[in-house]
Amino acid sequence: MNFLQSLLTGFATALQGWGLLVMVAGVAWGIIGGAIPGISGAVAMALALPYTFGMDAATALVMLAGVWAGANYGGSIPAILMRMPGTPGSAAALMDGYELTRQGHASKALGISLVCGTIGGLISIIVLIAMVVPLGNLVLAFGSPETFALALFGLTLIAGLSEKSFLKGLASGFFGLLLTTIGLDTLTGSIRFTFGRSELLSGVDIISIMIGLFAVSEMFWQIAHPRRVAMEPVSRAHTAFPTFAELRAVGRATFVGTIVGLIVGIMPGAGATASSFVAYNEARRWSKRPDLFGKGSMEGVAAPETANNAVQGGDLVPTLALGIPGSNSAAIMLAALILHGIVPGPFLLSKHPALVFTLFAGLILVNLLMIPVGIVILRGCLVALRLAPPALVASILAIIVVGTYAADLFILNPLLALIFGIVGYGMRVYGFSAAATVLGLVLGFLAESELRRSLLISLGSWTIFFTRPISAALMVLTFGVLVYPAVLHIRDRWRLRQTLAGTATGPAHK
Amino acid sequence: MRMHRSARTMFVLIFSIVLVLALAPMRGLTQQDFPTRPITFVVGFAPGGGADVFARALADSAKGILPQAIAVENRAGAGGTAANAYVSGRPADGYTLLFAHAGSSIITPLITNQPQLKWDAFDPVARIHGEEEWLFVRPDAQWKTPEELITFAKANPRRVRVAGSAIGGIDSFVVLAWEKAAGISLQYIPHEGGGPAALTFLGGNAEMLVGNVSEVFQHIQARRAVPFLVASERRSSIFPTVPTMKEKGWDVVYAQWRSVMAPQGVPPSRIAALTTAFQKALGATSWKRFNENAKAVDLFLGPAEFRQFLVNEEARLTRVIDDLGLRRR
Repeated sequence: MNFLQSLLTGFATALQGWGLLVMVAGVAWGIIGGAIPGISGAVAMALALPYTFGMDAATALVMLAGVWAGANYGGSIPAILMRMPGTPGSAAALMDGYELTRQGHASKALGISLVCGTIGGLISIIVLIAMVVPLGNLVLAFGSPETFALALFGLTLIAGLSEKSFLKGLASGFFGLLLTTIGLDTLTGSIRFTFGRSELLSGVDIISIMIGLFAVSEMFWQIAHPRRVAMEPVSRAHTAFPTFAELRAVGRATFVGTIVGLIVGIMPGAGATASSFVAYNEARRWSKRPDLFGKGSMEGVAAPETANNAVQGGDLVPTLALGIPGSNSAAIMLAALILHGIVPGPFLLSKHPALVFTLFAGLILVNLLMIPVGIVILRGCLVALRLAPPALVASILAIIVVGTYAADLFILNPLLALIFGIVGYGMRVYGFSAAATVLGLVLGFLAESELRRSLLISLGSWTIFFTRPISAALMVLTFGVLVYPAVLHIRDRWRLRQTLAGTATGPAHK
Repeated sequence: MRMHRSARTMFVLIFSIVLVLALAPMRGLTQQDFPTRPITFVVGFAPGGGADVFARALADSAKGILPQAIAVENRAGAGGTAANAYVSGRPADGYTLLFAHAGSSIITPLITNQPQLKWDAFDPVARIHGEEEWLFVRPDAQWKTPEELITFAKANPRRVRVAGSAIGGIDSFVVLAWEKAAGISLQYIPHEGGGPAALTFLGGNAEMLVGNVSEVFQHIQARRAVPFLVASERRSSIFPTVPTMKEKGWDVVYAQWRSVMAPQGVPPSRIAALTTAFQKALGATSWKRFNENAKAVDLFLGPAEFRQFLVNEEARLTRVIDDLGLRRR
């Protein structure tokens, strides 16, 4: 009763004065910022941070929450339309999203991404509101071994991404893992593979490489193989909102995405990007049509998009319950709190309940606002498809150069995008998987640092991964996922041989 | 009618711009003609981190003191030295300032062999504040005193696990210096930052935590962490009952200090104006509240004393860096 009352008061506080306008502005900026390559969710929030100084703490938090939610969705607009991930978290949705665009279903894919993302975001916020305190204690059960086990589990997706040759897929994945070793090593302080470039000390810019492998290579491909891509007439854009039947068809993927997003969000080390890839893999495993994945599956868009929005609720668990940010975006929320003179930590809930409940209400509201604001912006973006291919290719390449440069102001980043555009083109020609490289890139840092940290914690003993329940469960799952297809394969061959033997010996008997 | 109105708007606009331009230098005259336009404070770390929050709070507190605003600009990358490179190339007119701490102005330039980006390539403006370095244990720790811990650690080398931030950061230097001074061997577990280190410690995967008190203060109140030792010159006002490492006989004194520097060659009068402004800003209520919330202490030093401090700090940190074998040769 008291709880409901607090939440209703929260809604009233969030909506008073300029509240609604601030939220709409936050969501709109988030979507636009997220759509610009180089501006990730955290950067979009950081750019909005100075504008919140004049607001009271609650309004500031709600606005930043709006930017955060918006950016999670915004990144997928260029990913689906142009094969250009606006944020790292949208890279998983690109695989099927862009296929759908090529088949003429761009607005459908964007609509599914918007609605499913909103559903994932809303459910995760409701779970957050209901269980922030018990989940806060669960956060501490996720240590380095658990995060490593999750990264390993995520890497099994390499198998799914290597279509023609498993060996080539594995090589592509390892190439991505190798790229993440560049930079100053946290665990030893030594410098690895920077070739004297100080820009590489903090590691390679993941989004520049992603854009190179996916978007630049695709532009080169279109230049080399000019053909009219089947594009949907923009006049049909109003059908973007998915029908109930279409939503039901991706219901299972949305459910999987929500669960994955929540769990990965709660894990302190992993965030939106890792969750979207794991969700993509799991959605395929549980799908009735796994063969469609990679060839334009709506479920392949729904699952990662749901997951990267559902991460928001999970990320806020350690942030609100422990005062330790679950991601870069959550860190900006904490910075806003500190700059408003509020100390985050385990007593935030008991000392500032009104503020927390306003944030909860605001989170629900901004996730709801995503749909109207998203549809308005999405319609504007669909106009891009009306451009003639040469103009489209040229403008995308221009956006890529500006976007990758603007993020860190390093000229190296647009160069990386260009170089990896050529690499990605070569990979496509010779049947390697650029997606597997991106997966290695996304999970490599996590896998390496958490593996080594786990071994420091265990004083060198490898049993640590199997003596802790969550880690052991994930390890068994990973093993099962790797072995199960082989077992099935052997069983099928054995059965085939049995029937063959049966038909061969049958007539001889009689 | 429409033309008429827009012409009037135009006039009002131009008139107000002229008025502002005319008044701005008049206010500046009292402040030695400087600053007459906004100052940029460049931070080499991403928004939302400790350095960024510090810079924004400082800029906010200096608001009423300097006649011009201070705008924080983030140029993250290369362990903070990307910002050093950028600022060193800006005109030495006092309008571009650099956030600097031990990591960005001494340690990273040394281990990455970029002496041209070290602190002495800049003019020190002021050391502002610092966070003390603490060692924490869990409430159920088997050692009640530092002496008991040392006895245990001597009998069991590498059994006591200490979570902290990355190798090459102040946290790791505190632990290394302590190991040398006390003749013990610990298992240091590096992390990407103080937050993840605190999680490893709170989750029971390390016996000790090294770092600033701000991230664990509420966990101390919640009886999940206990301050054990502090690496400061004198006992801290935050937990006055906690002994310093120095009084236990180990000369381990480190603080996470934060400061402001300028490109080399800024006129001394401008440096002086900035130093005075920052010193005054430290008296602002907003700054005091920020410092208290961040569990930080004011460590103000003017340009001359700060330069002397940096000379000593570099010599000291260089020894630790070479002990760790971090320097590229």
